[in-house]
Amino acid sequence: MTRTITDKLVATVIEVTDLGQLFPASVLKGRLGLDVRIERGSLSTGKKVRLHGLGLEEEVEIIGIEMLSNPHDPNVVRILCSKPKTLALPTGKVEGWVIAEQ
Amino acid sequence: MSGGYRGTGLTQAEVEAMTADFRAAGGVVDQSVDAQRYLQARGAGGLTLNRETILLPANPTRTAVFEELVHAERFRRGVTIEAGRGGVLQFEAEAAETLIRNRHAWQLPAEEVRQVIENLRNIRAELQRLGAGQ
Repeated sequence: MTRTITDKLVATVIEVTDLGQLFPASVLKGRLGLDVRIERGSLSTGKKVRLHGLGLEEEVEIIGIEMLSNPHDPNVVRILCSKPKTLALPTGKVEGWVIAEQ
Repeated sequence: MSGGYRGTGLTQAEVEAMTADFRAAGGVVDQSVDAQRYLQARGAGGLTLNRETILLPANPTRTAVFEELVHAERFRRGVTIEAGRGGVLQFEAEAAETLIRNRHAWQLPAEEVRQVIENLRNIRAELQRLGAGQ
């Protein structure tokens, strides 16, 4: 099947949590939690995506998807990613950040 | 996910016995203090992140442990979440249905099964409200 551009994941990042910093003595070490709303395409573990915002970008891997529904908005999903090596990402509620599959 | 079923907490030995096959296959069950802090922060009685990672509290209920094992198995078969489909709700519904279907084989306490049934009703109502279908 030919894959079109619209199949590719694009998701808006709503909130960033540095899980590795907050919970270092657990499997969350070195992980970043991103609360995202999928705009296009689909989300799955193992997928490598570009995290970009404010003119910066870096590749991260989706390592986990929390099987926990967001009570305020079920369409917002928390994913766990590898922590970007060079990107300095703000934490808390954010605007202007997106993950996109290339 | 399990929002934390009210019920009898399992001993460590019971948790280890129930998760033995999962761990033998390479799975990790994290019950560390930090994992438990994270569960509290998320309001969860257990949490599955992928096919090989489960977070559990110190004394989870029998139903919570089976729910996370069901989620991990679902990840093994592939989890794909699409836009506007209610996020992970569909997978929570599937897990609840699996728990109910296997309640006798897995010896789930009746009180915990009642909570699963109630959760499933709520999930289905939310999916319907979202127009996400089943």
